This record gives sequence, structure tokens and C-alpha cells, in this order.
Amino acid sequence: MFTLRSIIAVTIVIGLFGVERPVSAQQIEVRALVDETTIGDQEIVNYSIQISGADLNGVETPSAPSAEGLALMQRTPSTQQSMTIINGQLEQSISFGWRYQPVRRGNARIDAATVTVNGRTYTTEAISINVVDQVQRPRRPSPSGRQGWPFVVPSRPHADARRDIDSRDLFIRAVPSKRTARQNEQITIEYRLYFRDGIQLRHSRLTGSWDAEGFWREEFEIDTRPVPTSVVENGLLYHMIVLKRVAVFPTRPGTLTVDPLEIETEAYFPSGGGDPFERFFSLGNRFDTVQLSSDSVELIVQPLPPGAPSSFSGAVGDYRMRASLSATSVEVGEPVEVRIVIEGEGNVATLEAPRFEPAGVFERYDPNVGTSVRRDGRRISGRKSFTFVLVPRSNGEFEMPPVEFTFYHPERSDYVTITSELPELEVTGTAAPLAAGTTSAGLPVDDIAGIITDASSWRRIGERPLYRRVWPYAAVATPLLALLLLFGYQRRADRIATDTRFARGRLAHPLAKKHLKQAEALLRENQPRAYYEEVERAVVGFAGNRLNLAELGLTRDQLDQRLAQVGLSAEDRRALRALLEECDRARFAPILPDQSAMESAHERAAQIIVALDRAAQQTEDVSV
Amino acid sequence: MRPSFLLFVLIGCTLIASASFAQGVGVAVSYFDEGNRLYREGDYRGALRSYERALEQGYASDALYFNMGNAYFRLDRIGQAIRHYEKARRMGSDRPELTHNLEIARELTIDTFSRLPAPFWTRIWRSIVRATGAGGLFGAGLILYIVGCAALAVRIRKGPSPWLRRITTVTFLVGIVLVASGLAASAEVGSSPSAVVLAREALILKDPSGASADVVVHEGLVVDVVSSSGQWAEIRLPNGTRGWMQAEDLGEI
Repeated sequence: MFTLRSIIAVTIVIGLFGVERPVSAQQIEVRALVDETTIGDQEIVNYSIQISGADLNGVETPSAPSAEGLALMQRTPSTQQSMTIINGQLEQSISFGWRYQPVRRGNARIDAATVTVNGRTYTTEAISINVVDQVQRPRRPSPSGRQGWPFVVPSRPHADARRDIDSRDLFIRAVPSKRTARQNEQITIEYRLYFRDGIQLRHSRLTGSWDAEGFWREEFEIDTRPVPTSVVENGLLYHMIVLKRVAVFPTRPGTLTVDPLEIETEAYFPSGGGDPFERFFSLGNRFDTVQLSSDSVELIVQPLPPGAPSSFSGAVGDYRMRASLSATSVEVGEPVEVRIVIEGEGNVATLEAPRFEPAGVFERYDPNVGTSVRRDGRRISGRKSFTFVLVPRSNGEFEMPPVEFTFYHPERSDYVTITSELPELEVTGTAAPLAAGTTSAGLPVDDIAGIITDASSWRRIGERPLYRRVWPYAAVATPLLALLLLFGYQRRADRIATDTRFARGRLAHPLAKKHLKQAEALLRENQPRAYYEEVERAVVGFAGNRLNLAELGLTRDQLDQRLAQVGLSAEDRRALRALLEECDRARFAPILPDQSAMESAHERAAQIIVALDRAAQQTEDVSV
Repeated sequence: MRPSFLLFVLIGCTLIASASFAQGVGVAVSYFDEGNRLYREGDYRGALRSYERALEQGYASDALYFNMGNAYFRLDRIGQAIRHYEKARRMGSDRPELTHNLEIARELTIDTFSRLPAPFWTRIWRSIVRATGAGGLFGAGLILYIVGCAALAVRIRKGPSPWLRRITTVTFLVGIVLVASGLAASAEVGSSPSAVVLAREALILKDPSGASADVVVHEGLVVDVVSSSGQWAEIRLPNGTRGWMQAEDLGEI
């Protein structure tokens, strides 16, 4: 039934906070709702199915849903249509209502209903009803007074029958986007005010000091004239507006708490009876001041995972970056700007400048920072720019280092590093000398000393180290070797000087060789007498020196006897005697020997010397 | 072979070697001068290229390394700057400019490791080696050793005398000790080289497999290289901590 009363009721509800009724969407919306979810066993529950946004001509009348613990009081539904033109747009809705009566105390349920609109079937949610003893329920208006609900504003027949504020009728709910997050990750919290159909509020204001300790906070811009949205919560129809939307960025890990949001408002709870015009014009007398508060929000904050790259400075979110140079060719001393822009979702306000370290020939000044934060969406986003001013102090072509920025991406659960390349910078002109103070030693203060032009002390590089070369060891060994030789020589010289036998023995061979060589020369000159003198001198001299004898004072027999004592064989002794007699003959006989006899004498002399030496050696070995 | 011929060959070889050395040094000095000119004009990259060409001739001087350190410093490559200053110092330079520039460069480094207290004899030993060099020690020892040998030779030839015995003992023993010290100093420099961290930062790992990162070091830190294995180098930090790092992040002094 489309009544003037219902239109007025709807209009009053729209008047909440002085806002307009929402313009419905053109999409079909089907919802089921009841007037109470807790009723006394003597009460009646009003159940309705609302269809809005559709061409009402295509709506088929639904059947009453089955119920458990409740009995349907009539099969034919009451029907209500409404049509409103708001801002030039037409909104239509139709409702079908039934009444159920409890059959027992305890939990009851109205099952899901199906509705066919334009040939398409929609299913509503089932609704649970709690049926309690009637004495536990406050007085309610008689069912007759509420006939036709919800097409009339909930009302009371008498002023003293006004209900106390129930937390189910009017409350604030804090809805965080997530309960567990990483440090510095964006979490949005929306504070929604829910109020039952028919309740009116005015003069609302925030009380208390909402705080979120341990968080960086960014508040979103919300509409100062919010449009209530109709929502069904647990089968009850509510209007909802967003009081506050805030983004919080936890600055430390742990379990952190966001304070509840508290408001004070004046609320009007309409009575069920009376003339609606009377109620409308007497609102001022029926508003009560109420305090509302949301629950506090507990968030679990996890630290960022290890393994962050060195360029990470705490940014969490999703960012993009670009970098540019104000010029690619400048003169020495002419400033050039490097502009780095980072934009994206996250705590833009606290972003630190990415690492940018140009070559030391550039004087780098602290960057100018510009921040722009967008608060009009459902996520905090924005842009931050860093403008470095560089002043080149030298000419040349310089490669600018790439700008590197790392952030933690919560969706990917990983660190993301983005880089932006800069073009090469050409610096022309000549550097002016730097003015700087000097120390007492003449060195510049806070700067390095200049270059050295002294071109001395050059050395070959890449040579083997000293200990791996040969010459140091040779240099050490050579004097030592020379000392050893000198020592041996000195010992030999000392012995020759003190030991006659040793000295004569050392001289025997060279002297014998010398005499034989001279004899050989005399042989070639054909001087037989002189030749035989040398041969005798060689043999007898060798015997004397080798055996340490005074050979000149010995007769031939004495010599033979001494040679026999040293072990010279009789044959060799005879050969010696024969050679000495041949020498005597050659020196004194008138007929000179021939050349062959002389050659034979030379050969025999050599053989006798060898035999003598062998015999002397054997004698020495035996004595030793 | 007559001694006079040997002497002739020796003198000839010496003259040829001297001429070759002088020619090589001459080219190196011309590049050195060119680098100095470019440095004064502010073209530090060009200066470095000239200094590198001087090095390519196979010769170096403490001034060359010092100037290279300056050019690297101007280009904000602190690791390379410290490395070349250290090279200049290793060549025996004790110029006050070198000490000053090293201090300035070290002030720009990040790492400040505590140093293990070295025994007093180590400090004395290092100061002597720094002052004389391994070659200086060896040369002085060789001279004393030869004097001792000569005294001993005189003693052998002329017979014992108290003063000759004293001279022989002192010079010979001191000479041998100095010669051995020179060789030991040379081996010490060759077997345990130092290096400078050239990367902006580098991880020090417990082992080359890269199991876990213990310490992060930064550009300009001077470390001792204990050993190397492929692309990895085992290093010892100033506080005595040992670890492995990528060899390419190091610049040997």
C-alpha cells in the first residue's frame, strides 16, 4: 500500500544529517529483512522482501519462505510500492511483507526466499531469530500499531514508551583493510556509523582525542555531506555513512592499537503511533544526546623481512620513479639540476631521497623536496620530487650514476629495486683555483695536497721480489767461497813452508816434468850431452824429491839400496842403473849416441819416474 | 778468456742496461708530465689516462702513484685513491703531503674497525722496514758481511789479532742478520699483500659458498689478503676477523 505516511517516513529518514536520499542504482537489488532479530514469545516478527532498481512490471510475487520455529500468519503478502524522483532520476521499489509468530522459545530461522524478476531468479539470505521469554523484552507497541511495517516508521503509541538506545540500533564500526601487515605498510581504517531505519541524528561532533600511537597517519578526504547507504546487517535494515577514513602506517613491529572513535550526537527514536505530521513538527522535543564509540582496532605488525638491498631506506608500497637532468652540457661552475620523481601508493610523505652520488668533481647540495599527497581515493598515494643541484668543478665528460630506489612490495612480499638512468653530462670551460686555508705545514685544510711534479726516483715495476732472485744468494755465497779457498791456500802454503818432505814431494813432479821437457828440447836441437844431463837430473831429482833424499851425496849403490827399501822392483832398479850409466857414457865418451838411443832414454826415464812414484805411493799408504 | 775481456763485457752490459732504463723512464716521465698538465686543467680523467700510460712503460715512482691517488680522489673514487696513496707509501715515500692526503681520504670512508694491538717488536720491525725497505736492509747487511769476510781474510793471511777478531765477529754477525732481515722483509711483502676495498660495499662471508653474510665493509677499507681461491679472496680485517669476499671487489696494493 502506497501511503502518504510511508512517503513522509522515508523523507524523515533522508533528513539525517541534512542529507538527501540516495539515488538508487539501476541494478536490481533484492534483500530480505525483519524488524527485530530478538523477539518475545508473545510478539510477532515482520518479514519483508524488498526489490529495488527494477522494472516493477517484471517482478513476480514471491512465495513466503519456510520458517523453523515460526509460524506464517498469512499466505498472501502485503505489498508496498514506492516511486521517488531525486535529481531528475526515478527510483522504484516494491516490498512484499509477511508476519510470523513464534511457536517456541529459542533459535528460530526464516529460510532464504527466491524472487523472479524479469525472468531471472534472485535468492535472499536466511535470517536467524532469537525467541525469548516475553518478560525479558521491553514493552513494544501492539502489533496492530505497527501494521504494515516496514512501510511505516517504527513508532510508539506514547512518549513514555520510547525505547532506550540499543547498541543494535545505532553504532559505529571500525573496519580495517587488514589485521596483519608489515611495518610501514598502508592500512586503511573506515569508521562507519550504522543506524536503524527511522532514527534521526543531529548536532553530531567528535569527542575525545582519537589517536593511533605507533602509526604515521594520513586522513582521507570524505564528503562533508555524506549520502547514507542502505545496508542489511543480520537481517536488519540500516543506513550507513562513513564518518572517517584514515590510512595508518605502522612505524614499529608488534601488536599496535588504534584508539576507538568517539562521537556525541543528538538522536531521535521515532514512536510507533501518532500523526506523522505531529511527529515531524515536534522533533525538537524528542532528541536525546547520546555518546557513541567504536571498538579499538588491534593490528599485528610484522617486521620487514631480512635481505633488503643496500638502497632500501624503508619505503613500503608500490612506486614508480623517473629521473632527469636539467641540461646535458654546462660550463664549469654552472649549476645543473637532477630531478628525481617518485610516485605511487604508500607513505609518500616519509619517503627518503634515493641514493645519488655523483663524481667528486661535483659539489652536491641537499635536495629540494616537493611532496604531493592524494587523499581522495581509497588508498593514500602521491608524488615526491627531489631536486639535487650539482655544480661541476672540473671539465670533462661525466657519466652520471644511475638513480636506484628500493621499496618493499607487500603484495609481492619482496623487495623491488627500480633504477633510472641519467644521460652523460658534458662540462666545458676551465676550473678556477680553489681558495682554501693552509696548515702550518703549508697543506690545505679539509682538502688534499696538490700533485707532485718531482720526476725522480723511478723504478722498474713488476720485478721479482728480492728473496726470489739469484743474485742476493750469489752475493752472500761468493765471499764465503773465496774465504774457503783462501783458507785452503794458506794452509797449503804453511805446510810447504814447514814440511820439507811434503814440499819436496809437491815439487817432484813439476821438476821432473820440467827437466824432461828441457831434455826433449835438447833432443830436437841434437845436443846429446846436455840432453843426457837433463835426463839424469830429471830421474835422480825426482827420486830425491819424491823420497826426500839428499840424492847428490849418494852413490849409485846407496841410491839403489834406498830404492829397494821403498819397494822399487829389481827390474826397475836395473833399468835405472843402466840409464844412469848410459848418461855417464854419453857425457864423457868421445862417440856420441845416435838419435834413436836418445829417444829411448827419454822414454825409459819417464817409465822409471812413474815406477818410482808408484813405489813411493805404496810405501806412503802402508805407513799411513 | 782474459780478465780484461770479461771486464769489457761487464761494462758494456751495464751501459746497455742503463741506456734502456733511461729511455724507458724518459717516456714514462713525458706521460707523467702530460698527466700533471691535464690535472692542473681539471681534466682528471685525462690525467689518469696519461698516468696509466706512464705505468705501461714498466716504471713507476712514488710521485706517480701519489698523483694518481689525487686524480682518483677528485673523481670521488676513494677506494682507488687510498690504494694509490698506499702504493706510493709502499715505494718508501714519507712525504708529508702523502700522509695528509691519506688522512683526508680515510675521513671519507665509512668503516672504522678497531685494530688488534700489535706487539712492540712488530711495530719496530715495520717502522724499520718502512724506513729502509727490504733492499736497504739487504744492501747494508751485504756491505757489513763483505767487510767481515775481508777482515777474516786478513786474519787468515796475517794471523790472529784481538782487534781484527772483534771487527770480524761484529761485522760478520750483524751483516748476516741484516741480510736475513732484508730477505725476510721481501718475503713478507710478497707473501701477504694488502688490498683496498673498491666496491661501494661488499659482504664478508664465512666461506666462499656464500652461506651467510657476517660483515659488510665499504669502499676504502684496507685489508690483508691471506689467500685466494678462484674468484674469492680470503681477507683479514683490521680487527683480526677473517672472511671471504669477491676478489673483483678488491684492489691489490
